[in-house]
Amino acid sequence: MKKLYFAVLLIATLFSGFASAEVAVIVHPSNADAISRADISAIFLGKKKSFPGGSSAVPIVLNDATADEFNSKLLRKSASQLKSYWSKLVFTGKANPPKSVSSDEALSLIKSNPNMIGFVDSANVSADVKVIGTY
Amino acid sequence: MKRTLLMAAILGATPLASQAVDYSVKGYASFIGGMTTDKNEFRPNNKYGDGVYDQSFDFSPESRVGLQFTAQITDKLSATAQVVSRGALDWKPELPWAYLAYEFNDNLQVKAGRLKAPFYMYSDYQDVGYALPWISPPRNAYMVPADYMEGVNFIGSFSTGAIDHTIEVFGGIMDDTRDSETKNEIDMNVDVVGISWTPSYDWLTMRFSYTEAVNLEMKTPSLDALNAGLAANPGTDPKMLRRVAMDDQKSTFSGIGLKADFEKLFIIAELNQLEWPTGILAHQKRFYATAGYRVTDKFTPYVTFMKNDDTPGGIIPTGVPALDDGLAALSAASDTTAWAIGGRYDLMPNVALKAEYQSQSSDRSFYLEDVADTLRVSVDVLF
Repeated sequence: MKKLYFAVLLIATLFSGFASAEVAVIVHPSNADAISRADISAIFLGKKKSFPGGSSAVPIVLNDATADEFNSKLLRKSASQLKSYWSKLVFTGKANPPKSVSSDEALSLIKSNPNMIGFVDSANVSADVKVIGTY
Repeated sequence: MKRTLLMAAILGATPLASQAVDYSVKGYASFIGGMTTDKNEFRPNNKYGDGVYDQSFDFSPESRVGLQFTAQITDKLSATAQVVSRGALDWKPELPWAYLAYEFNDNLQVKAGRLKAPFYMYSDYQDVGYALPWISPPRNAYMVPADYMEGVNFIGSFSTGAIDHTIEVFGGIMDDTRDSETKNEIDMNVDVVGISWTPSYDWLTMRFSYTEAVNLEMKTPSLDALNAGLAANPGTDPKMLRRVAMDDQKSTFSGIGLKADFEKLFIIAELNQLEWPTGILAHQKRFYATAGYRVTDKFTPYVTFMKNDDTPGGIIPTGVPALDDGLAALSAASDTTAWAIGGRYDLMPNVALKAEYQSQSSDRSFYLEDVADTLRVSVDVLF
């Protein structure tokens, strides 16, 4: 019984470890559009180039581990699948992947650009960006 | 250095749209080695005549490096050139893509210049090994021995409910050569016009394509010799002369493709047909289906089944054995059945390793390369 308890505890610890980082999707505070999870995924995969309200949407991504979290949770793709996906579009001249920046750069870009959308670790969100969802 | 400047331009620009031309360079490479495990030869890409595997392990038949330069001139206008260097062409650089692209809006793009004719489901990025589940698309169904055209290509996209559609319309002149020093070189000049429709719904993508080729001229050394022989022989039926003279022929290509993705399991299939309503060549009907399984994020094994079900071109015998043999060779059909087993391992986010063993068999094989068994390994890189 004790062994079982220990195993459950161990598994729970492991899983909580995996699920620790939450990703916050952020936009400029003036962006009042209702942006669904499907919209976010479409914008970051280059399938949609504007917000639901019609203004143009410029996604930026992170160059750290939060990006893996975002890719698997929202885009449902592994790092290599995403690389493959973009290489198809890049080498056929159809689209280019979003620029990747650091978490601080993402925050400062998004607070001053109403067209941008990005994501950061939810622990790093600052007051001058708007969180449209945490995943 | 360019990267830093680019970054500075992006970060400094408020609003984002900057006036400066935005340059980018991206590349890919595939290093592929292989050999046949029987006494036959295998040509993995019909376009590259000298890219042939035999019994000695060789890296040259399929290995290639590509570099793409793009200049984003305005928001809507860009210029792109892609240089590819292949082992099969002694690493001489080629220019498969050199075009201007203009985006009318988010849903309509036109490209004009030197482009790859998009016959097949994987035409557009056939060279970008990293983006493919296999080392190369099953060659039996990628059978047209020419790739490039000078022309225009419109790509439009729209949605109906949950289904996204892409429609591609293209037209141009293919003035292309299958280079070969040792095998039969093919020189081709043809006007093509084609359309494809790609509806996709969540896990399912289909592709329907149709291309018509007219004013087709084709020259090969053996074809020229056969034409001369037929013309000199009094017993040749005039119909036969017209069907063999490859100076104004018509050809049609039609393809149906399918990709079904069930998260772990995926299926890819294509049925491609190349028909010659006016010429003597065989009607080629080629099929493959691949089933792959993502065992982990990194490891993806697959199996492929391939079938050639050609119909030989019609012949009226001339009574001269040498000429009749030539006609039979020209109109020969392939009825090969083949299977392959392989896998992909994602070593790093921009490096994939692959291996494939392919075995072919045929009841009445004319082409020796239709019955070869081949083992290949590859490293695919993006940079």
